[in-house]
Amino acid sequence: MPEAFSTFPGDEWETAAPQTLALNAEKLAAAGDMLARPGSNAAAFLVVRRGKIAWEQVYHGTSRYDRHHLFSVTKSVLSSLVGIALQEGLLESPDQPVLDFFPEVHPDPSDPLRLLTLRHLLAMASGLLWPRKGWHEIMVERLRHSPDWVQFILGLPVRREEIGKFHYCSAASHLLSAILTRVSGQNVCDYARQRLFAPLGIAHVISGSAWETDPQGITLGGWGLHLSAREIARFGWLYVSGGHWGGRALIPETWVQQSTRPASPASPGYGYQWWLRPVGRYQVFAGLGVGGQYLFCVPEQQLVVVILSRFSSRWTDRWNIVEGLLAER
Amino acid sequence: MKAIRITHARLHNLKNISLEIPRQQLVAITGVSGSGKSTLAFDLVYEFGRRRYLQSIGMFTDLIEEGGCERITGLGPAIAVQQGIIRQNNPRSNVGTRSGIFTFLRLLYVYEGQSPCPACGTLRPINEPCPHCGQAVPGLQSGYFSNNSSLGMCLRCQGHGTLYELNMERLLPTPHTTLRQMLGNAGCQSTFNYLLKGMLKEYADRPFEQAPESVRSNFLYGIPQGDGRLSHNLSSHLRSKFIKGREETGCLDYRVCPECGGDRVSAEARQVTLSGLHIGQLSRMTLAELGSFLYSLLEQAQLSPLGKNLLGDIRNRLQTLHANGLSHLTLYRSLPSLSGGELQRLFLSTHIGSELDSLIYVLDEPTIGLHEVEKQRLLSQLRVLQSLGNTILLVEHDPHLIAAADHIIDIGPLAGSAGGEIVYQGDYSGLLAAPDSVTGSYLSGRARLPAREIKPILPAAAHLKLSEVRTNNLQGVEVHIPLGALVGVAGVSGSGKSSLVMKTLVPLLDRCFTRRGRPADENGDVDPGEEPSVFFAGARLEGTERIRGFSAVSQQPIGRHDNSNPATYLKIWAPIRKLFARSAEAQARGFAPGYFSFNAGGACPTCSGSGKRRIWLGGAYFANQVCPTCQGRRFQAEVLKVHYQGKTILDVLQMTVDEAYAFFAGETAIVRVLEVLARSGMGYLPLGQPAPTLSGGEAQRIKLAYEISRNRAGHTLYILDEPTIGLSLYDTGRLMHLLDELVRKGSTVLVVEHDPVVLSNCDWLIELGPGGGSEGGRVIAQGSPAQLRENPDSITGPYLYA
Repeated sequence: MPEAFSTFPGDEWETAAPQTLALNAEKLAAAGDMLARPGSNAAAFLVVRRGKIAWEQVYHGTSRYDRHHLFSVTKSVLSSLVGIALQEGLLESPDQPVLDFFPEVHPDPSDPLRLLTLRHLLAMASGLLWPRKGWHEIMVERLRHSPDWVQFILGLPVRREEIGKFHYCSAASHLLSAILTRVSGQNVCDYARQRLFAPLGIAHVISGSAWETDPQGITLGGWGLHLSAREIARFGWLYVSGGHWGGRALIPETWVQQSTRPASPASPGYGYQWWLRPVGRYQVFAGLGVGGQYLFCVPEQQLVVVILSRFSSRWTDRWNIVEGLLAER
Repeated sequence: MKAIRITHARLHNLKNISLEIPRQQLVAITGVSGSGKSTLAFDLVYEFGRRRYLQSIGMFTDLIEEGGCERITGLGPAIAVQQGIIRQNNPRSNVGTRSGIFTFLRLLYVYEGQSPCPACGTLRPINEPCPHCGQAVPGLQSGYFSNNSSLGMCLRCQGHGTLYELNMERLLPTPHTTLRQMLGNAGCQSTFNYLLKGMLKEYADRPFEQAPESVRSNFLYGIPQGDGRLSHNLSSHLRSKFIKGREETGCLDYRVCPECGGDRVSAEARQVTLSGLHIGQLSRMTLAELGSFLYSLLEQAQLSPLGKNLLGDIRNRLQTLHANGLSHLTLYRSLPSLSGGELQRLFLSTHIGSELDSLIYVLDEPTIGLHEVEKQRLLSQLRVLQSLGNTILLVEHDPHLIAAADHIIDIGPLAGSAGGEIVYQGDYSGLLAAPDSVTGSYLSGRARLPAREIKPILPAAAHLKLSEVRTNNLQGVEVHIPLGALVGVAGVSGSGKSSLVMKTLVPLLDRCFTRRGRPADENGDVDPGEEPSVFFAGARLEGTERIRGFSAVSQQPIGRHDNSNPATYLKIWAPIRKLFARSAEAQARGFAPGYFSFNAGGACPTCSGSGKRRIWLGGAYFANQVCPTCQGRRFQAEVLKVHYQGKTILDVLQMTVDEAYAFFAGETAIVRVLEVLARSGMGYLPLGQPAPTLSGGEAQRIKLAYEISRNRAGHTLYILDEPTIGLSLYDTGRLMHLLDELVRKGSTVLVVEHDPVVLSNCDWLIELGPGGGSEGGRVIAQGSPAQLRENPDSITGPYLYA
């Protein structure tokens, strides 16, 4: 493994001057300033290169250790747990039918729910009826009103013709969490603690608070995880390192690769709970959350960029920050 | 006196006219079809009013006023209610949303609704903690009561209230039924034959139930192809056939959603009630029934001040809708399913509800589709609108409304270049006396419509029998349609005329005369909207062997694009282009007939031949500008160098039917249909008039002319839905003449009509009623006009002329 990938934070991240990590301090400062503009809702900005923090900036009185709601970046964390569960044999394959995990559900023989697999859920191509208005998933409101979330989701009509077609649906992620709960026999937050948070050095992720749960106690799959910029950066660095951490493979490398590539030719911009976009010559995969939560990973540049914000219903898109940082001099 | 002052108007056929239109009065603008009255009302007053207003609020600043008249002052913001402008196509748009009643009703449920407490079970208000056990509020917002919102819709049917499902018992009656037999049961052997010979060959003649699950499922329902489409499958195919009214095997059930029972909203919403009823139930009653219910709610329930206000707002709207003859509708009734008249009156009701003043309303025959009895109510509604301080301009033909106007402007005397002048301005008595006014001469009785000789219909006469009709509100109706006669179907709005004729008779005829699923003729247009006629199966039609075919001539547009026009529709465009291509100038340049069309090189590349450029101003505002490249000439310069008998192809498009008839004398293919058009009072129509700008009535008459010109040798049944829309008495006479000609040639003409002139000239009348919706749906009278006049049960009878 190359030298660059052998640096991992211990209890704390090491910091280093940008130029020692072959980064341009002026560019970083410029990016930091953009996030400081009046009206910006940015709370924390962190750039990790080659296993060390090259730049860290906090705004509006935030402390660098404050935890923020990551919103849908949670999904990317969930995705890693699915990979781990596959490796452990708790799940057989991504092509397993969803209904295998819910034997108490007996739909009609013609119900397209029978056609859904884990892959459909991961790739956001389940055909579940889930209308949205722009970024706003209206159905979440209705989901919240229901007494049993998983039952509600399984009761959603599946539009047969939409199966395989990309349609962002947080309910699908929550269903994945319910599935993981069933096969692991534990709360997903606890499952994650042993296999992910503890080895990564992310402590005290308490189920129900740092990672919210639904009325039945199932860890939220689509949102609800609260971490600091420094903590989520560890997860990003894990992915940039191909799932390896300090000599151990926490997540199968094959899964890291599979989940950060297009789930199908029809959806080149999305993998398994990860957003994909080429920036210049580089492939970037990212976890994105509403209100301005970003985890950008650029393995080819050994780079992780984290931007966390105070939630706002209108927020500035921050891909340009990464574009700026990656632009050729 | 405040007035709109127009100086030297030259738009279209208006001949440099100058006039004053008084404000805050009810003004009727009269004249024959094509006289220029719509130009004056819509293209001048409305367009300028709208444009000036938009400019003043900064929305329209880049565009200059483009001619039309020298000067126009005294304008205010203008609103037009015209069929072409308000056509609706979204089935989710319904009476409840358009009238605004749903907004208030949903809020009423939010603030006054009650539901059983999940903790202790007592009925408690939903916006307060439970008075019995203190359980917290569910806090539902109005979206939870909307069948169009993700929050409130029944998820199973997505708020439509109905579902399509395969009827497995009919498809596979026995365990041994093979795939081939199943296709036979479903009536689609030919469509899926290729599968029997190909991919599904091995299952073709074996019991279908034994085929693997995936094979069965894929064939019945289709495989998702990842792009939002399914593979070719039986469900989709039957569904598409069903919507077109061609599914008669019963293998596809179009039934009420089992989840919501047709209430369209979620179970949670159905738990919330007002006086025991939930919003789904209220949305399905007629507006009349709703009015009564809300009245008793006001009396009996303890409502908060907010609740009383909301209730008051709803009742006001209901009263306006009632006054406009719309009480038979329901809140869930979709806008595309309404008749042109109903739609217009709905929009009108909404405007009245807005209570704005100082506007100029420009209305196009708002009494379309109204029974005589209902016109008075509408008139009083227009007076209300006027009393709020608005100006009402009515483009009108109806004698009663013209008589009721404060001021009348008569444009004419005839159509096209024979019109465009102000023939008379003043009050009604003056109009009747005006010597040059065609309108006045008909209204006063100086000119008369030639009375048609009414054929006596003997009891044993050959007829079509339509029976067991239960479509929509019809209650097992049976009617006899005598053949070789002019038959009228009459009745108040909502009595079931359309359901009987357009939604039952026409689809049944379509099945009869269809070969391999294609309509008997291109004009037999069964509206392929999302809502199929509910349950017309079961109705029976006998006697069709006595007719050769049928043609339903509707008011649907003859084309949706600017490049569709009467010439293209009537199929004379191709022969005209051929004539141009044969000229020496065209031969020299190597122009084929196709070069003169809009699809090929000859059209202006910027505007594709429309001559216009449409500019989006933001929101729902568009403006048309003359195409900067061709300056409205539609063709490239070189095409316009070719002449046929001294005229260019553009000149021909701008010719009226009358002018073209003279110009193309000798070319039988072209003049045959032009002759019919001229005879039906459409001589004023420019050949190239863009199809979307034609009124529904004009489109219908063009189609009728086309039908007649095709020279079917009698024994055809023609069906027309309110053909006199847009026609003055003068034009109606012309139309009657045409219809009479068809009957004398041996065909049968069936008209759905309100116009007493037409009905009085029919050989046989069928009257439905007595009221609308559930108060209608029965035959209340059948007979000759003379018999109906004597019939005490007939509501139309008293209005018929001797």
